[in-house]
Amino acid sequence: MIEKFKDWYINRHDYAKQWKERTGGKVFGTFCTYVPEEVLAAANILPARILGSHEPQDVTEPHIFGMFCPFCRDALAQGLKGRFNYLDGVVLAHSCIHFRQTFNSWRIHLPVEFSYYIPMPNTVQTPHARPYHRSEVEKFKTAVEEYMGRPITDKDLDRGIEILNRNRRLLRKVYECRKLDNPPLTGEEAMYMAVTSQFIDKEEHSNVLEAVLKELPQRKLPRDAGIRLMAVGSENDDAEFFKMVEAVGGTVVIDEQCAGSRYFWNESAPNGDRLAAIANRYLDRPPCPVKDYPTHSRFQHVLNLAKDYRAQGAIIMQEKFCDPHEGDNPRLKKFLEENGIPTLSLEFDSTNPLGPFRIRVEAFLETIRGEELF
Amino acid sequence: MATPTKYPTEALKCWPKAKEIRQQYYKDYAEAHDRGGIRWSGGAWAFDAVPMGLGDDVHVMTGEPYAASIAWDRKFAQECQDATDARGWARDLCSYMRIYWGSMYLNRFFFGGEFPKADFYFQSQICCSHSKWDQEAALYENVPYFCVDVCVGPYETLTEERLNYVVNQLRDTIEGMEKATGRKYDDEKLIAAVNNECRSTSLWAEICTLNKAIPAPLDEKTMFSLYVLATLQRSSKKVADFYEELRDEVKDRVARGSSLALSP
Repeated sequence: MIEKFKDWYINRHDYAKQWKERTGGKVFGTFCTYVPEEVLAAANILPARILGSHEPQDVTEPHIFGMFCPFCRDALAQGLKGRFNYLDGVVLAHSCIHFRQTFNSWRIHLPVEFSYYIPMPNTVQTPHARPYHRSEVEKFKTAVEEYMGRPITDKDLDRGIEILNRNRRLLRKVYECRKLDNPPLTGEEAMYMAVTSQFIDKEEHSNVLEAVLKELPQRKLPRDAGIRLMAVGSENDDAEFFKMVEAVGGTVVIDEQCAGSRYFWNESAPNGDRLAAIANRYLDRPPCPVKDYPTHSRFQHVLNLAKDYRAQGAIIMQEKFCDPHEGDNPRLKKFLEENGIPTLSLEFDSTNPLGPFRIRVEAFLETIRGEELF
Repeated sequence: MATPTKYPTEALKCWPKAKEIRQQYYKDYAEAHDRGGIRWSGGAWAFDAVPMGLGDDVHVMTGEPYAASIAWDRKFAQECQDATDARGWARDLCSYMRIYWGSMYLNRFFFGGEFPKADFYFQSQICCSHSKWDQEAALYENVPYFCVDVCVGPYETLTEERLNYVVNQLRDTIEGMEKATGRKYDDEKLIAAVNNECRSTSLWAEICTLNKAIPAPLDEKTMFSLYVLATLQRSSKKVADFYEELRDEVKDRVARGSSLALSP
């Protein structure tokens, strides 16, 4: 069953098209992981995160600057190449400036029936963000209702919340298995699981997760775990990189990135006010560096994960030109190292130099093993 | 050989005053503590009228114009960027930010002496770099950081909730500033500063509009040099008064058909 996630990952567009045919439903492209998907699930809309393809491209230069991060350019390229031509709508919950411009470019050049910008607070630590974001989630809900031509009831919202929460709980259970001495799944496999939950129908995804969770206790990988590693980054679904790291003596046992744990780590906690529960969930989730003000609250979370999963080292996968992450990483590296987690920083692009990366990762693993070279 | 001109030209009379305001601005910031005053740093797009409620001896140094000043000195600018590189920051981050940090890490102030440590940093989160800039500076200098999130969408979609989100953060910031400086906030001073800010920005808009005339009374380089005063401290009476003087002079040039303000 676990291979299903890789299959979905590779054939994501075919899946979305088939889903539309099968259900007659609408598909919305989501920009960034801060879009309150509970509202979309409540309206029976399939959220499909806009991701890149990690292929070289030459179509975005006329539209967004070359110094925008590779992920933004790669994501827009997918739209310009027509790969998301099945979308009925696009939604951005504000994250970084680069992605906002990418979203605006998308809206201009790839018009769809529904497009919506949610001004998601950037200072999630201020108490004023709570009533404000609740009101923005409410506005978004109203816009979706108008588009769909029917109200989203409390019952719908409860269902939407539970669909999302169930998927989050199951992914957390899968991640729990990675705490074992010999994890029954690789970091590459875990990455496919986490990232596919961002564009596969959540209920279908959860059903497969449940089946996989039954298989995992019996699953033994024909390899040694080697050095236990943590991947720290942003939108880093760099499958080839994970594969390489796990071929040279390491296993990624935990991640702290939006293509992974940051996306699903916490749940919406229903408290009577459903919209507040949804809004607060996004304010309380492990923050992207773009939201982490005034203090670096994220650092302790990263360290806690490293300790909980007994990571022996961390690899910071820094997306080139990503100001929010670049604005955190030197201090985060220092913080992890001061707390006993050796850390390697690598600069990522859409396509990556796996040969040089391999040498650096091998050297990093050698230093962790404390190997004598001579 | 003299360059032939199509229109009569003349030097801008208030140019020396603009230079004096800029020089005095950095001097005041550096010397503020000697006189018991307060220093704050942040971005040129911070709500700079807000700290003015703390007193008449509150001095600001906005980061972008300061870094632009350093950029004029290639050697020092390179030293600043090298110092930032050495601390592991990415080379593709905003160069103004990297230069500012470098000057801070090197503890060298471009206008002489040690880098003047701010009492607090105050910033509006207009872009990802600005937010990280002052987060790092405040951590390095171990002083409070007040950042105001302005993620409330485009102006034309402003609602009461969106406005209140910003206003409530500013209220918290004022309380934080009072705590950080031990001073009582004076609303009257804030009102005066906001009035000056409105004067500065509307006068500058008026000056830009006057520049539609043919011949244009100001050239682009001169406009950049004069516009920077609004990015230093548009809420100060000195800047607002200067823009009034400049507006009158530019108006007069338009009336007389005199073109390009050639800087001395």
